Amino acid sequence: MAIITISRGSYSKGKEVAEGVAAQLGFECVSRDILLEASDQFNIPEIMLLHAIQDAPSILDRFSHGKIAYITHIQSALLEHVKRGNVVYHGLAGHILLKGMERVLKVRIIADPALRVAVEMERERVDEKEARRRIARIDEERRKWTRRLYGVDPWDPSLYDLVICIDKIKAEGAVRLICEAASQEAFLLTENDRQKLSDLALSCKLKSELLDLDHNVTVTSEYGNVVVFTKTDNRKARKMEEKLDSLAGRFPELHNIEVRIGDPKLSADV
Amino acid sequence: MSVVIISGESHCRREEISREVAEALGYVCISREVLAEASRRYGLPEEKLEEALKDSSGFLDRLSNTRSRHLAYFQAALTAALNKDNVVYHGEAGHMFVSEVSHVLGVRLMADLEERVAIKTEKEGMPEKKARELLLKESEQRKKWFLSVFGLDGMDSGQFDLVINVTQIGPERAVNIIVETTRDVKFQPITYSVKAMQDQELASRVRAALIDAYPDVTVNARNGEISIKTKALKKKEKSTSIRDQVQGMEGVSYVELGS
Repeated sequence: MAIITISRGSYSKGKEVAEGVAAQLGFECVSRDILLEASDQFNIPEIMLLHAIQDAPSILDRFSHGKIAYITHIQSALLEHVKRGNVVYHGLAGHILLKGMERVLKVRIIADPALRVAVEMERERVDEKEARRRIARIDEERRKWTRRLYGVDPWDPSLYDLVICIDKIKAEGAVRLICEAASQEAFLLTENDRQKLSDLALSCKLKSELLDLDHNVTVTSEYGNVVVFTKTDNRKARKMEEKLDSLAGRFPELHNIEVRIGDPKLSADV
Repeated sequence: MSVVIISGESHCRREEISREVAEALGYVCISREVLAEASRRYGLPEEKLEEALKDSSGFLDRLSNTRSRHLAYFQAALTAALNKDNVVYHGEAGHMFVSEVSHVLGVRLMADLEERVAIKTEKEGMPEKKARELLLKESEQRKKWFLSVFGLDGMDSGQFDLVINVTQIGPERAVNIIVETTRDVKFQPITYSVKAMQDQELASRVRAALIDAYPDVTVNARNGEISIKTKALKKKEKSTSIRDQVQGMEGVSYVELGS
């Protein structure tokens, strides 16, 4: 049982690689599907979620916390799949959405810059200069997204366990290398990891439900014992308790809930 | 049958992994041997040449282009070694000295800082805090050196075919992944890529022979035909002298000069 995240640059054949890895290992392959699920679950148009995960947040977003809320919804939908294990997730920021999980094989697929320009030229019927400009804009947008929201550069190789440049190494070759890396014992989930994932998924789901009451709410869970931290007042805290009580029946993995005013101290917090 | 160039920060098991890759493939594994060969060819102590691979301040270049000259000697020795094929070279920035050769597999190894600190602490018997400080300082200097020599970020993954984090992947799997990749048809030498490597070796050797007298010299080679550019070619007597010097070098079939 393992989890593989594949972060991909544009025109890197990352989708093809991810599907190949999932087919070879008999894993579930997840990507845009989670946007649809989050869209259904939280009643938000898919396009809003797509913007949240593709465009860098504006100053206004950071004040309104809208983007953070959308990303929490996406993270929640992703964790629902991932907690079962044997999953390949491909798309932007998988490694970030699963932060704190050690046994996740984090792969980045990039493409030779000249190859990307050539594909953009052919696909969009634009000249080389325009193709370069468009690719630079996409890259910058993605850089801004992760930098502003998580303070890291997606191009930083230390975020990944394996970076493969698709040029001389073809998609089939990349599939073989990733499968080889995934067979490493270090990436097989233990009982403890599964519990951590279940706690993370639960925290995330509850946080998604509470964001309308407090955008800065922090939810932690250890073995289903949930503590909600809010910096708002007692009145809001009571409202949260009431809401959580009404939700409790929906989450069988939930043992106990406590709402505190202050900062979190536990580890599985979102 | 190909060439593998493995670079990576210190204390990330680069040497151990390179040796095992070479063993698995039946290749020769080289590293410091390149400095020794450059030292023998150009009559300079190895330590002096090594300084050029470390000087991030550009101080040596301000002293009569010392860094550029020494790097040219290093490149000549490196391309000569890689031209023999079936080689695993491990060292800093090797991939930057050999470009446009399709059968070269460029790999960068990384390891989490904590693991590197543990290796350094054990190997050199120093306190953990000191090891961490030294490794961070070294990384910073390597970054500066790369930027100052090649004008690029040495950490940029786009320069490599593969980047492997040894801490997570493990040295054994890292070896398997590299060996598996070399077997890919794209990393097998073909007539064109063998010629490209021969041309790189020739151009590097000619440049190393000229750089002392002509620090701005650039050299290109194509099928043994050499194209040389330097401002000194504006003077006729220099053109004759360069042509005479290069024409007699092994592998040179034709010399074209331009300023």
